[in-house]
Amino acid sequence: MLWVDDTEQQPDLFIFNKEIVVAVLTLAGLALNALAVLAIYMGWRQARSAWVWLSLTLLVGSIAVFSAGTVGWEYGLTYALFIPGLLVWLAIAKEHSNKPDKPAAVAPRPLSFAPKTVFSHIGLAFTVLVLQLIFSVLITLSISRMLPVEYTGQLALTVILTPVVWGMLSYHLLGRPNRLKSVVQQAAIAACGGALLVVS
Amino acid sequence: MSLFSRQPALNAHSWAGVFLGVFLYLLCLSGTLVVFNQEFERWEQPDIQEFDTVSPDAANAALNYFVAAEPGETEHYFLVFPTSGIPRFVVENDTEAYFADEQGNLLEKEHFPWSKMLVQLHYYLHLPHSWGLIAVSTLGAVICMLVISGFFAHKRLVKDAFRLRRGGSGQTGRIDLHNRFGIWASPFHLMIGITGTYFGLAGIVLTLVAQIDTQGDRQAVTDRVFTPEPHLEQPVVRPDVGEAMRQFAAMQTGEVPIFLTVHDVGTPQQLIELYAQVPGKMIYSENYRFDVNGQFIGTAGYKDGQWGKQLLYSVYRLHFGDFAGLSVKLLYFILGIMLTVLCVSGMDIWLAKQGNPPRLSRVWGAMVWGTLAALALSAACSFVTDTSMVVSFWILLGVSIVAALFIAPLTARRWQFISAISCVVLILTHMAVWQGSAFTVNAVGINCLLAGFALWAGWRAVKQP
Repeated sequence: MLWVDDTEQQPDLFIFNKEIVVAVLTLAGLALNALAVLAIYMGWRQARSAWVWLSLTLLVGSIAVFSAGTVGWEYGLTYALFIPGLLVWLAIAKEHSNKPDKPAAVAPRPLSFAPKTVFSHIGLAFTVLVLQLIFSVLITLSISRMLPVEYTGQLALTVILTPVVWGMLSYHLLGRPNRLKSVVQQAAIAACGGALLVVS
Repeated sequence: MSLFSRQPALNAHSWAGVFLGVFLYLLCLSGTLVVFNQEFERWEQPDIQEFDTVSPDAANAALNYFVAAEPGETEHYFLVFPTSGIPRFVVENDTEAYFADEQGNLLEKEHFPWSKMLVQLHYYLHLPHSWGLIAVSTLGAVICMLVISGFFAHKRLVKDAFRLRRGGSGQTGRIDLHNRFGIWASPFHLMIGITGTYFGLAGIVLTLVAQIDTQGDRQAVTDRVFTPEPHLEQPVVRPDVGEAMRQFAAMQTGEVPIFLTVHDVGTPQQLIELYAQVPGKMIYSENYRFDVNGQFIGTAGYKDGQWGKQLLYSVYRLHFGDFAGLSVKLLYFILGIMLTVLCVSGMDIWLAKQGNPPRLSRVWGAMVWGTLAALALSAACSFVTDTSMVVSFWILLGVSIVAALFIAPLTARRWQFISAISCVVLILTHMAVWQGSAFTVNAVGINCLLAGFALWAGWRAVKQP
C-alpha cells in the first residue's frame, strides 16, 4: 500500500488471489514463449516453414497471456520480444560443437596511420555523427508533419523514427564506394525536407 | 553490387563498430551496470534505515526539519518515498539531500559518488552535459545502424541461426557468438538504440520545432506536448505536503507514489506535484497536482493522454528497464551484457582479421578489462577517500592503457586477472568499512555479484594458455 492512512484497504484474500492469477498467467506466458522458441528451432532443424508459422502464433499468444498477467500490453509486448533472446541459448547450447584448438595463421598486418587515412576517417565520423543527424531530423520531421496525426503524435514519431532513418542513412553512406555521391544525395533529400518544413 | 548485399553491409558494420567501438563499449557497459543503479546507491550507504511506508505527518515533519537545516534559497523541494524503488525516505532541495526516518527526523546526507559517476558516464560519457548528451545520442543511432547492417552482413543468417562452433583458431567461435547475440537479442538492441537516441535528440527536435512553430519559444512547444503547470496565486506559506498525500491516498488510484515535488518554493505560485507509477503502463508516472494547502487541482493527464504524449513519457522506463521490479532488471542486465559482449567480440573479430597486432590488441584488452578494474578500484577509493570519482576512474583507465601500450606482458589475460583482483579488493574494502551493514540483503547481493565476476574472470585468466 502507499503509506499509512485511514482509507479502506482491499481484503488480504482478494490481493492473494490476484497475485496467484498474475503468477499463473506470467508462467503461462513464459511457457508459450519457450514453445515459440522450440517451434522455431524445430523449423530450423527440419527446414519446414509450418514450424515458423506455429512459432509466430505462439509468440502472439505469449504477448496476449503476458499482457493479461501483467495487466497491460506494454509490459506483455516487451517481455514477449525480449525473453526469446535468453531462451534461445538452450537450443544454441544443444547445437554447440567443439573443434581441437589450433593457432591462428594470420600474420599481424601493419595498421595505416597516414595523415590522409586518419583525416578520411575523421571526416567520415563527422558526416555520420553530425551531418547525418541534421539530415535525419529534417527528413523525419518533414515526413511526420505531413502525417494525419495530432501534434504530439507527430513529434513522438519524429523522435522514435529519427534514429532508424539516421541508421539507414549511415548504412547507405558507409556501404557505398562513392561516399561523396551518397552525401550529396542525402543532403538534397534533407534540403527538400527543410524546404517543406519552412513552407508548410 | 546491391547496397543490401554482404560486402557493403560488412563495410558499414565494421567501420562503425571498429571506429566507435571504444565509446560503444563504455556506453554499453555503463548502461548494463546502471540497470542496478538503485541497488548500487543502497550498497554505497548500506547503514541507512529502510522501511516501506511514510505517513503524511512524517512527510510534513521531514520537510520542516529539512527547511530548518537547509534554509538557503531553492526553487524546489523533493520528497522521495520508500515506494520509489529504494525503500528509504529522502528529502532534498536543488542542491542537498538527506535521508529521514519513519517519523521524519533527518538522518545523514545522501552520499553515493560512485553511482553518480557511473550514471554520468552513461548519460554524458563524462563530457560537458549538453555535448555529452548529444554524443551519447549519436551512439544510439550508431547502434541502430549496426543492427540493420548486421542483418545484411550475415550471409548465412538462417543456416547458422543456432550454431556455435568453438575451438579451432577461435575466430569461428567469436563470429558465431557475435552473430547469435546480435540476431536473437536484436529487438532489445534496436529498442536501446532508439530510446537511447531520444535523450539528446529531444532537445534538438524541440529547438527546431520551436523555430518553425513558435518563433523559438521552446516552452510553448513543451506546453503543447506535455501538460503545463497551472498558474497559482496564493499566500506564501509552508506547503502542506501531508495533506496532498492524504488526498492522493483517499483517491484510491491503485498507483504507487514515487516522489513529490514542490515547485516555485517561497513564491505565490508554489505547487505540489505528486508523481505516481501506474501499474501495467510504461509511462514514467501520472502526476497529481495540489495547491500549497494540499488541495487537489487536477492531474497532468499522462495515463489517459494522447498516444504521442504517452509514448514520449514512456521512453525512460523502457530504456532503463525500470518498470516491473527486480525480474525485469535482471532481464535487462543479461541482455545488456550481451550487447556489451557484442561490442567486444566485434572488435576482437576485426583484430583477429588484422592478425592481432600486438600493441593494439594489448590496448584493447586494457580497455575492456581495465575499465572494469578502474570501476572497481574507484568504487573502493570512494569508501576511504573523498577524491573525485570521475578523476580517479579516468586516471586508473588512462594508466592501464598507457601501461598496456608499453609493457608487452600486459596481455588481455593479465588484465582479466587484474579486474578479478580489483573486484576482490572492492568487496574487502566494502566489508571493512561497513562491517555489519555490509551484510544487508542488498549489499550481500551486490557483493555476491562482484564475487561471481571475480571468480569467473580469475578462472578464465588462469585457464587460458
